[in-house]
Amino acid sequence: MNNKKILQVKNLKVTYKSLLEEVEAVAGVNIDLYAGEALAIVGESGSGKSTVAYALMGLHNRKHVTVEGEVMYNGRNILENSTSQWQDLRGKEISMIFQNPMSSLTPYLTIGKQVMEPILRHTLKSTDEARKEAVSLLKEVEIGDTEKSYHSYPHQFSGGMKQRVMIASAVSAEPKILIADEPSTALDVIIQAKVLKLMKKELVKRGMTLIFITHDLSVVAGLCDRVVVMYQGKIIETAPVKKLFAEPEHEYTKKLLSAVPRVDKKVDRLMMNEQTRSRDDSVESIKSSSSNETIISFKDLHVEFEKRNGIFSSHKEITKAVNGVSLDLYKGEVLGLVGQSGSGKSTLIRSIAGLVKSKSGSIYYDNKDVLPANQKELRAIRRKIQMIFQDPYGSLNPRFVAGRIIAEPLINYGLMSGKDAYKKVRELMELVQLDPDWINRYPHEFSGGQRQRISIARALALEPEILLCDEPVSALDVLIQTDVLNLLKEIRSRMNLTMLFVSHDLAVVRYVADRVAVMKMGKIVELKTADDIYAKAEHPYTQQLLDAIPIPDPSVEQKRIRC
Amino acid sequence: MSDNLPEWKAAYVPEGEIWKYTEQHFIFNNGTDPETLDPHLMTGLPEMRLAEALFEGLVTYDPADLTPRPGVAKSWKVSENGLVYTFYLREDAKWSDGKEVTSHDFLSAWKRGLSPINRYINLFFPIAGAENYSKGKRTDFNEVGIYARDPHTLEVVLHAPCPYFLDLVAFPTYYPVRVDLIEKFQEKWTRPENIIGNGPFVLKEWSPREQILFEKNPYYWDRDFVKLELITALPISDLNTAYKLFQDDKLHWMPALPVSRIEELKRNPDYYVYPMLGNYFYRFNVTKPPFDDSRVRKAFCLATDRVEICKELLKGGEQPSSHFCPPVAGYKPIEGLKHDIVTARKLLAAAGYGKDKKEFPKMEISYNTSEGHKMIAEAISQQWKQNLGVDVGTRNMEWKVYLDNQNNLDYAISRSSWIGDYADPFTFFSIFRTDDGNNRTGWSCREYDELLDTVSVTLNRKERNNLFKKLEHLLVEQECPVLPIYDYVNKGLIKESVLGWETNIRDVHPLKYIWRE
Amino acid sequence: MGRYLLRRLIFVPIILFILITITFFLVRMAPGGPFSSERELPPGVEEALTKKYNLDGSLSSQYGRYLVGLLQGDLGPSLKQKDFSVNEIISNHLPPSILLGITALLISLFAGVVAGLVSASKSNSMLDYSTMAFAVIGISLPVFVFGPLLQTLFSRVFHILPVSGYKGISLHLILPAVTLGLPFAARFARLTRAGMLEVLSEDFITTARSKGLTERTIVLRHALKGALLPVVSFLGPAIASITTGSLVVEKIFNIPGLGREFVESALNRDYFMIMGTVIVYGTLIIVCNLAVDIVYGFLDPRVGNEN
Repeated sequence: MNNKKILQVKNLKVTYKSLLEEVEAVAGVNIDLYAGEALAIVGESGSGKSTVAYALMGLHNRKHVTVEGEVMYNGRNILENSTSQWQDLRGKEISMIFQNPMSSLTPYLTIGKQVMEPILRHTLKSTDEARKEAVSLLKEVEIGDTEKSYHSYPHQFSGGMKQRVMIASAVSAEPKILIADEPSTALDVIIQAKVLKLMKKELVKRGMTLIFITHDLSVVAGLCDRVVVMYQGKIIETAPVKKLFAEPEHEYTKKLLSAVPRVDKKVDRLMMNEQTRSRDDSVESIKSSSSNETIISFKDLHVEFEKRNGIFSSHKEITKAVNGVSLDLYKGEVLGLVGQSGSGKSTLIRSIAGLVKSKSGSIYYDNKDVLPANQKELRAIRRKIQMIFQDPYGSLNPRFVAGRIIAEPLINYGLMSGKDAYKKVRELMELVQLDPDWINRYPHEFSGGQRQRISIARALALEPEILLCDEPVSALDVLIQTDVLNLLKEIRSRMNLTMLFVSHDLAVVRYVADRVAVMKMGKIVELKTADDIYAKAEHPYTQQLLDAIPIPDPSVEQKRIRC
Repeated sequence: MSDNLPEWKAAYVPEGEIWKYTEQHFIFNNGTDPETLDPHLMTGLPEMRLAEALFEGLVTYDPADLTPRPGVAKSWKVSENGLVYTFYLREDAKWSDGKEVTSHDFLSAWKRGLSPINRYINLFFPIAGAENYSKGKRTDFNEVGIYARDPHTLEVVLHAPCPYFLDLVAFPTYYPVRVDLIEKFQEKWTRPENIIGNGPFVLKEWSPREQILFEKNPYYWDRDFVKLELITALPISDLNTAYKLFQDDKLHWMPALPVSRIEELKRNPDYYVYPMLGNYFYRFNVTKPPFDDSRVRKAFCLATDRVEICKELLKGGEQPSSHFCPPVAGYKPIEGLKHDIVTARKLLAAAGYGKDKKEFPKMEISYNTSEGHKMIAEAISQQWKQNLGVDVGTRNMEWKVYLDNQNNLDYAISRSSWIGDYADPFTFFSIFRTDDGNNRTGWSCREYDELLDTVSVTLNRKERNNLFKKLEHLLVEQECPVLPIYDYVNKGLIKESVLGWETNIRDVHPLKYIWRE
Repeated sequence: MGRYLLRRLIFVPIILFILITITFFLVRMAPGGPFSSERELPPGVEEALTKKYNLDGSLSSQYGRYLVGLLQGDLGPSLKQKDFSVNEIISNHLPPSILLGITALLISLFAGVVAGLVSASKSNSMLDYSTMAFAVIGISLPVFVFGPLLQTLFSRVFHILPVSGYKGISLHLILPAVTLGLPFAARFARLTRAGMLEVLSEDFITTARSKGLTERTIVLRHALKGALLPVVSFLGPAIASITTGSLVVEKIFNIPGLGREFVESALNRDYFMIMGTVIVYGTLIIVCNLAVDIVYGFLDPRVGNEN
């Protein structure tokens, strides 16, 4: 990093116009970007961080978006660019990687063609040269069998591979600045670590300047030099990364930092601000009380999925999603289940609720095998075992009001109706810290975190013994994630629930779980108490998972990733 | 044949360019593709128009007054008692392959015509022994009254006098055909490459749904009279399209007009309209109430304003009619039941329907799907509502379903029409004989049947016509199983340059006589 | 893809067999018969015709005889067009139908896709609105209005195109093909526009823009294939209705096509002709849908490549 300013953003304002209203998404932002540095722009969703990035690339649709202010690059204000000047700049001077690798590559073009496109567009190289370069770029981003991959289509690649292709394509015309907009958020921890490592390698190799946009401070710690914190379209704090983590100035920054779960430390409660602290006192005394009484027991459970190639094909592909799992869940404990996507963790908990059919093995609940259960028995079991899903929007019926959604299990089981149900719903809403007066609002009127609270309220309506949580916070911003996690912890203590908590995020699991089971390819490879698994991980896969998790402390994290 | 082609024609035909015409090229719209060119299988006017070009019977008819004219027979003789017809065939009558046309050709053709694949088989029935032979009661054709006395003399013996027999002999079902060809080529014998006729023209090309081409037959006995060199028959069913072609001079005659444009077409100098031997009427189902009561039928007839239908709705010169048989062969129809609402109401009340009495049952006018039929049915239903206070609905149905229902007496009122086969009122009145297949009303009247028997043996024209008037009286004034609405007219467009084209009540226009100026 | 294709092909005769069987019995159940007419048949004639056309005996034995004939490639006689066999009628009238259908399809595809692309690229402009308004008119304007309108305009007023007739590949084909294609062009235009707008809002288009590609390259290379997928999906049903729905156009322009035989044979209870046209159209539609699936797989690498 030197002191040469490569890009200067001066009083940038971005306004979205629609027929009804104008929304100022970015309200006067000033950023100096120094050549060679890695600058993070951090904020929750809606803070305007991506809007800034789009403005730097001129990607806003000028019909609906007004961009004001100055962005000085190479001595001129690029906001005054003509369409063709923007086209000359994009990819050549400034390049960008997007959040969702699954949808950011054109499905109809081969990988190779997409990687070489910027080369052909911005350099004078021939098609042959561009092709050679694309192949070597693919090799550089560690895509195996480059010749074959060159001719592959995006759908044949995994998310991590796609994001590496995105990197290769973004750097192919040697841009000076790379903007990465949440490049690893949609990826698994292990893949995330690899992608970030690769990105850092490319940055150093090519001497590029990085603007890294994220909501995840833990990722920033190891990657960036300076951090800009945005909140509601404004920059509220700019500081070198170490200073920001050590002595955050702004209240919001402090809150953000306190919300990040850490894998390397045991934390009893995240984000202890004034409001939650006062509520907390009442439950603080109730310690998590796990006993040795088994409530659910998996015995050599196997779940297989068949995929036929066609209706009349005899050829079947069998996926062993759960491949011989034996596991005991004790009454009152929180058991965390971690693993990469595809490890079978979701299938495992769905098999308890009878949502997937098991091939062999048994699941005992209250010492009774539930797998041979008939519909009626299953119904009785489901009353005691409730589930919360990842997508808080998809799992709520958009045509029902919140009250109806929460009351539904009560009505379904014929337990309550009319006034009693209404009273119960209001109680439940209070329990999950929702304003009971919102009982008649529809799901779309709630935020993501609030919607997840509705799911939780619905799950609690029947006063279950066991709560199955399938990635309940992975779709949420960090602050809201922490809110929901705190809520779950509190409810668990209050209602003496047993929880099976599935997540790919070890830091989250560490925060809520008493014991942690690590799953890989349908098998449980390690099972330890939460503290032990972090301190004394034995299985190399557990170790790998742990290593991949970024730690929100630059002093620790920057030692871990070596380039 | 093609060696003799005039140069212009040789140049024209291979291109198949129908628009390029010369003086003696006549193009007309036949409206549809013929179902067949086999005279014994054909049933419709479009087929018969073409058959007239390809074949010639013993007798033909005058294009203007329809009186018999010599055809293959140069002359004929009828016996005193009207039972024996002797036809003298001309020596120069030839088939289009040059072979002579002899009395034996007629013999074998008529023998084929008497097999039950011929829907007009009953036109042979005046001939002695023909009916029994056709029904298999007799198997020896020699017992049928058809005798080839020598190659140029044909004698026909009838079982009873038939005043319109010569009309029948001019009909396509009496045409000679080459039975040897039919045996050889089966149903493919009518193809241009196979067919051999004895008419003024030969088949040059038959492209289904595109066009049919005829050219002059060099072997035809009266070839010097025939002026047309080439004839194109187009099968255009979209009459607006045909009209556009007519306007562009690419069509010389269109015998059917787009009804929706009748007002505009009437102003065209090429427009023609004249009466036709056909009528439009409603059948009543007399087997079921309320139309089992002749008073009700009569009331409905009296309550119908045909003048309004013709003048306000059809506007094409159709004649409102309260008779069943149009004027033909000296027959002048009687008055019939005129529009008279007062009497109509009285009759309906007498039948027990009206205020304080029985409620008139719900019923419908059935018609086959068509804009025109719909329009008329709705107008008449409206008139009945207004004049009689009865609600009669209308119901359209697919052609075949409509026929089925009519045949099975599964209707209350059914739209109908009838076209005369020959120029004699008998072709109209005979269909209402008890249990006649074309009766389709369930109506039966002994007096009527007896009158029909009498008329069929009466030769005197005047006497015949008096008998027909009695039949008409029973049919449309007394018993009323039918409600006549109007007599058909022929409407069309013909270019002024077309000569030899005459109007007549049967809408037949032998191509032989036509030429262009 | 190859094995998938083979599997689909095996089903063609099975589907056809079911189609033939259902049609055979359904048609016989319809009221009225092939020989009924406004004039009563003389006694004996109906029996003679029934025997002549092999319509005697029980329905199942007739069905058996029909299948035997069919296996030998004999579609039977036409009961209405008495001088021709069904085989002859189909071989006479299928080529004009196919030529007309293909021409109409090509015209409508070209016009529709171009209009849709122009509309999408200038979305919410006057050009877009007027193109789409025209498309709505095209969908709702009946053929029997549009056809005569074109005839009047181009033959009667300008005298540049013939009113009617069929001469193979010639000027005669233009008006009927345009008439037949118009409603489909309109649908293609709407589908293309909607498809293009949807694709243009996808993430990968933003990626393509961030590479500095020109709008033209983005539309042609990155968006077009995806935008055309709904168009391709509609091609199957479009081919089916273009080939079977040409009745009115054939009438207006006097084209000797099979569309009229298809409809009129049913109205006339021309039993063998109905069967013949159903078999031809059935085969045509099955084959076209197969072809459309293949094209789809070709356009979208995600389809059919899994195995």
